[in-house]
Order: sequence, then structure tokens, then C-alpha cells
Amino acid sequence: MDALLKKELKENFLKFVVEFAILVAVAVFLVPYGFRMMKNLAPLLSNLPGGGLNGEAKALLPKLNDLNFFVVSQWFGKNLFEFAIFFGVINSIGAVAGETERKTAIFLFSRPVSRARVLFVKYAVILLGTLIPILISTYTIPLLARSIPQKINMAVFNRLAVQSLLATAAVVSVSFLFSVVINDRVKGGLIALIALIATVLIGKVSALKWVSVMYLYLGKFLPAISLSIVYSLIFVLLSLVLLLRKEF
Amino acid sequence: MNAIEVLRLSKSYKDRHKSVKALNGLSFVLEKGHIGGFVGPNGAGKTTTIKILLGLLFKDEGSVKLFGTSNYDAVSVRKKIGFVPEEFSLYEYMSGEELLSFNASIYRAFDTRTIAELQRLFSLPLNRKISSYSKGMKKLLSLYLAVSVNPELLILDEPTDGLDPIFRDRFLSFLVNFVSEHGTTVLFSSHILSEVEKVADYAILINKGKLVLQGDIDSLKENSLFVTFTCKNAPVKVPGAELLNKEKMLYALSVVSGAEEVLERLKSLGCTILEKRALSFEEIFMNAINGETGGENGRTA
Repeated sequence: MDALLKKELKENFLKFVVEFAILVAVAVFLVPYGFRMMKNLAPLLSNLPGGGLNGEAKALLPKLNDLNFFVVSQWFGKNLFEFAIFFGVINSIGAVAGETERKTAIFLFSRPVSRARVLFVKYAVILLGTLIPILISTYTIPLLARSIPQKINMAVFNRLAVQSLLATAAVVSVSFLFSVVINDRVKGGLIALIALIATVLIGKVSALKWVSVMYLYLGKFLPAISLSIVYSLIFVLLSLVLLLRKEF
Repeated sequence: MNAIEVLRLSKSYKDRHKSVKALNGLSFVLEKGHIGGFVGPNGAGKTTTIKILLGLLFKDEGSVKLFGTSNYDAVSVRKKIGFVPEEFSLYEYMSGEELLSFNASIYRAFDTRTIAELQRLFSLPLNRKISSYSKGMKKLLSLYLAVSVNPELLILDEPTDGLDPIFRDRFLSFLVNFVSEHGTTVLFSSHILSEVEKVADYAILINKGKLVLQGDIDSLKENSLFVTFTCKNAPVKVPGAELLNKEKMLYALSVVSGAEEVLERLKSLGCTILEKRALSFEEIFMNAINGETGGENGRTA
């Protein structure tokens, strides 16, 4: 195995395993336990004293019994969305900033290995290490849902899975750029998270919805995946250009 | 052929909106097969120069050639270089063996015989995690890494920093033997002049980002002079001469180059030479740095 690849895997493996365990645990809790809890909540909510819920909230009540609605809103729209962004940032931010902070950058970049190769190996390991746990945990949901007498719409599920994976790739790429630019992991991670949250706020303006990271995860399939791919490529190339100019 | 050619190299850093010139038109050469002592006081620009040679910093102006190629930071050129940095952290979670293996995979070279020889001298616990190593052990491991890949050029930045006197001595002896056996060129940066004098056959002396003096250490010594003399026709017009005793018209003079010319001039002035000797390497360094005889653009012996 390539020495650089082996090094990156060794440095990140524990992190990937912990993240995988967290995601699988969340998925296992969500379906079937979370869904059953939600299902049991529906009659309670409709029988609230004083006439119960009104308007939009009342219209949502029947959907609480719908497994597909539950999976889309609670997995893709909430848990996966939040964890994927958080893990994407955590995994990427140490890529170059970690080497600079520990001063191992001087060792690494004085070896006969091109900076481009270092960057792509790091990016590949971090991307796969972030995406594989997401992929596996996401597809445990249809397996776990077999105990529930409802069927998951796999066409929608697959589309959202692909969309989430590509959106996470974009998050990884953005954070990667911060890792090249900012030499401090904590500072870089916080700034990356703030920047991603800022995109959600900017995306509240309908003309700028495509800027929002939320749109990448939950927007219309084709535009969202196209944007994710474009963002990923742009930010990786930008990271490369800046790394080639970086002094150690 | 020159292993290193540096011509009018300049580099500035930004420090709180102020530009600080680390290198100011530095030029020097180091021929293949030589051990070049790269000396200068703290802040002279040694580490900056080394980082530029390794592509870790980028030059502002000037040119650099390694092994005749100006594409000096190419992977193929760096493959010929072993580097011991002044200060770096190694991958602490790896053992010494793992780091050597990682390094060997990147260089695609590993000299087991050299490592065995180093182990005979230093017995570094290679199976232990680097996090448990002392500063000196880490420095030794850096040396192991640098020489284990059969380098054509060794760049050593303060290589003995952190080593105890016994290991320091063994290290220097090993270096001399290694170089004579492999014909490796060495750029040996240090501010410990006795060490440089012990291993180097060539000296590159820099200060404030400029070359002060370069040349064969033996020639530098031969061309230098410390002389005490008396003169009938006082005061003498010999630049740099220091009056030791006014009544006896006793003078002392140190020069780092042009010893013969100085002696001729003193004779022509009718001075009587009382004592003359070559300067030690340390005296040459001190004289050159103090600017008593060093020129603006450096001198070559």
C-alpha cells in the first residue's frame, strides 16, 4: 500500500470508527425506536386539552405515522445533515493545519513527494472516511425498517442518499480549504462551521438558496447534486493552488 | 560540478505590517563532494536559505540551482537530498522503525548497512514510539532518516543541537566517514564553529542575509593573518591596525584575507614584524562578522 495512504489511514482510522459507531447508533435508535415514539406521539398531540393543535401543525399529524416522512425529516433532514457537516469539518480541518500545527509539515513537504500528491491522498482518505460511515449507516435504515409494517420508498431514499453523500463531499472540500489557509485546527474548524452556518442564513434569501449547504442536502435533486459536484471541484482545486503557494 | 549554486537570493518576511529582509542578495556555491560549513550568527539567514533550497519557502528574487538544475524543488531533485532540520516534530504516534519505513517508501531507497552502522554507534530504541524519545534521540532519528536514503546532498541544520558531547563527537566522526565513503556533498549549518571546523573543508559565512566570506577552510586560514609590529614612522596607515602601546609604537592587526599583501605593505612602511600567525577559524569568523575586513559582497578565498 502507498506509504502516504497508509499514514493518512493510520492517523484518521480511530476518528472514522468513532464516527461510524455514532452514526450507526443514531440510525439504530431512530428506526424503529424513534419512529415508534413519534407514532405514539400523534394521538397524544391530537388529544391535547383545549382542542389540540391548529393549522399546519394539525395537518402534519397524519404524517407522523408515515415511515417515509419520518426517515426524510429525521434522518436526511436532521440527524444525518447535522452529523455529516460536523464530521466533515472535523475530519478535514486537520488535514494540512494539523501538519503545520505539529510542525510535521516541514518533515512531510521536504520529502520527495509533490504537494499535489499529498493533498489528493489526504483528500481521498478523508472523503472516503467521511462518506463510507454515512453510506453504511444510511443503508442500515431500510434494513432496520423491515420490522415496521410500512415500506420505504427506495427511489426517494436512494436519491436523498446520493444527494447527502455529494453534499458532504462539498462540506469536506470547503473545510479542506480552511485547513490549507488556517494553521490552527480549532480556529479553522470554528471558522469553517461558522461559514457553513452563514451559507444557510444567506440561503434564506430565495435568490441565493443555492448558496446554502442545506439546499445541497435537501434541495431539488439535480440542481443540488450538480452544485455539490461543482463546489467540491472548485474548493479542492483552490486548496491545491493555495497549498502549492504555502510556505512552511 | 556545483551541488548548490545560489545567486543574489532575496527573501523578505512580513512582520506586523513591516517587511523584514531575511536574505539580501545572498550568493554562494558549494561544489560536489565538499562539506560546506554554513555559518553565521543567529538570524543571519541560514535556515531561511535551507528552507528555500528545500522548496519550503519561496524566494523573492535571485536564482537557485541544485545539481545544475534551476528546477530545484522538483521531486526528482529532492530525492537526492537528505535533510536534518533544526527543529521539527516527527510523527509521534509512529515508532522509529515505522518512520524509517515510511521515509524509505517515499524515497524508494533504504541503506540497511548505514542504519546498522548508526545503530552500532547510538543504539536508538527504534521499536519505541517517537513520543517517548528525548530531544537528542529525535535529532539522531532525523540523522538516520537523512542518511538512510543514500543522499547525494545532505543538508544539516544545527544537527548536533540536543546531543550530549559523546554522541556529538560520534555523530561528527560518523559524518566524516560517511561522506568519504559515499562522496556525499554536505551543507552543514551550525553556529558551533569548532564543530564546523572539525568536519567541513569549505566555509560559507553569512551575516544579515549576505555572504561575508566563502572558501576552502585551509585557504582561508592561509590567507588570514594576525600580526604584531612596531613602526618607526608613526602613525602607520594600515586600515584596521590597533595601537597596543603608544610609546613603543606597537600595533596589532588581524586580516581574514590578503595576508601576503599586508606583510608586503608593512615591510614597505619600514615596520618590524614581531609576531605573525594565521587566524583560527573562530577568529576569522569573528573578524569577518565584526566587519573589520569583510567586504559588502563577500570575499572568496
